[in-house]
Amino acid sequence: MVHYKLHYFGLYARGEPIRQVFALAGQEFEDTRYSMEEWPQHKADMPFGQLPVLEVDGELLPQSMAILRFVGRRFGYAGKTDVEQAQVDAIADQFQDYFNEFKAYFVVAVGFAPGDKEQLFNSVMIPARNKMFQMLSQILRSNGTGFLVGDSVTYADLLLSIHVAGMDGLTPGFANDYPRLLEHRQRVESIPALKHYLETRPFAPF
Amino acid sequence: MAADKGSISNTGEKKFNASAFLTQPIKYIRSLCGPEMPHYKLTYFGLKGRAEIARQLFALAGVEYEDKRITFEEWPALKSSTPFGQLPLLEVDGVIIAQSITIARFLARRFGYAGENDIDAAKVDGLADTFADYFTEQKNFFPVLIGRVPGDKDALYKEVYEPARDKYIPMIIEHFLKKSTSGFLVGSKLSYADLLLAEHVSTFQEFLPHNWDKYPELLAHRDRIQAIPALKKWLETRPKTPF
Repeated sequence: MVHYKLHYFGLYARGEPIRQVFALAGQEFEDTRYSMEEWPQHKADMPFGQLPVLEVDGELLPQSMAILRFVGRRFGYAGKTDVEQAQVDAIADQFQDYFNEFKAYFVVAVGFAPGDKEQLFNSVMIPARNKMFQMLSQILRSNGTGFLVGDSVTYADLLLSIHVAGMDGLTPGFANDYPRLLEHRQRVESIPALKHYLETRPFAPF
Repeated sequence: MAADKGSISNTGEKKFNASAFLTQPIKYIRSLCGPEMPHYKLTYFGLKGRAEIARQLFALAGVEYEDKRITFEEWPALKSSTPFGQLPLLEVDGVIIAQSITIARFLARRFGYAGENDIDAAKVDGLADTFADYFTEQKNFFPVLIGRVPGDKDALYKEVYEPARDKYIPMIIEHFLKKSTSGFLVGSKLSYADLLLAEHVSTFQEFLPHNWDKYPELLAHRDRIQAIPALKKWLETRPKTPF
């Protein structure tokens, strides 16, 4: 039996998509959550001094997207052919670019850095959101299955539904101009394994 | 035997078509191998940039592809028809794949340069992500270095680039190069992570000859990778562009 241990903080952020793949797959894993106080003692143990890290039978795998792809592929939530897998990966890469684009707003919004939250929301977050959400709506529309790639849920869908849910939590109505994305979130969250997981997971502010 | 054109005989065997073989041997042998080979088209600008790793993978694998290079003038007309408004793009039998690292990973997987098992694949991917983080941290330096954006190159080198380099490179050397028994970053085979690193080391050395003085391991790795015959040949014959 393979033993999986996820090392992360008590946040959704970069760990939650990984946790939701385990939930979809019905795969047990050790969900280690470091507090900010204990983290410095463990930092040097991690390959790049960062979290999340997925420990698989003692092997330490860093980088959230690489981990997400690894579990997505192992458990069948990464696309059914290598071409589909590349399409799922491309959406994940696009999410990474998007996260980089609005990071300046996000760190202020969650209190990690000082700044003018309102101003950054308008000048940084909204343009980035509109660009990304338009592209994703278009992808959903052309794919026509209700999922971003192929005809079943992949980790690209999780990245989107988690983002929409998280941002809506921070700023209610965040995705209201994008009904296709609201509908997508409902669809993903009602997958039975995920529905159960969402009802029972520990709360995190983001 | 003479003018058969490869017809199927009564026994179900294809007869050898000597004239086809002699005039177009590769095409003839391919036709015997069954279904058509996939058609690959890589679209990018006339630069190494974000397409170079994909091109190197094709060269290493010995796989033909259409290396489409567009001009900056042609780009605006094409942009709105692309999935994310960016290049490079890889078209595989009509399906479009975007995002340079995804393209590299896809080709690497198909051609055997993505790790020997899924754990190694995850390590290769994680390294590629770490390079991306490193590149992002010094992204304000690179355009100034290559002369595309005005700025104080020396100041940015000290304040922006060197800290990023000295944060990431030692970790890559300690956790991957020093632990490797093969000379490759992960496992015992060349992966696209090796290509990313070697290309980066070369590009920066061209612009900044002393940039890697503190890190001879990287120069040694680069030399090993770029000595691989198929890659060496591509590097010698590829179109010369500044970056």
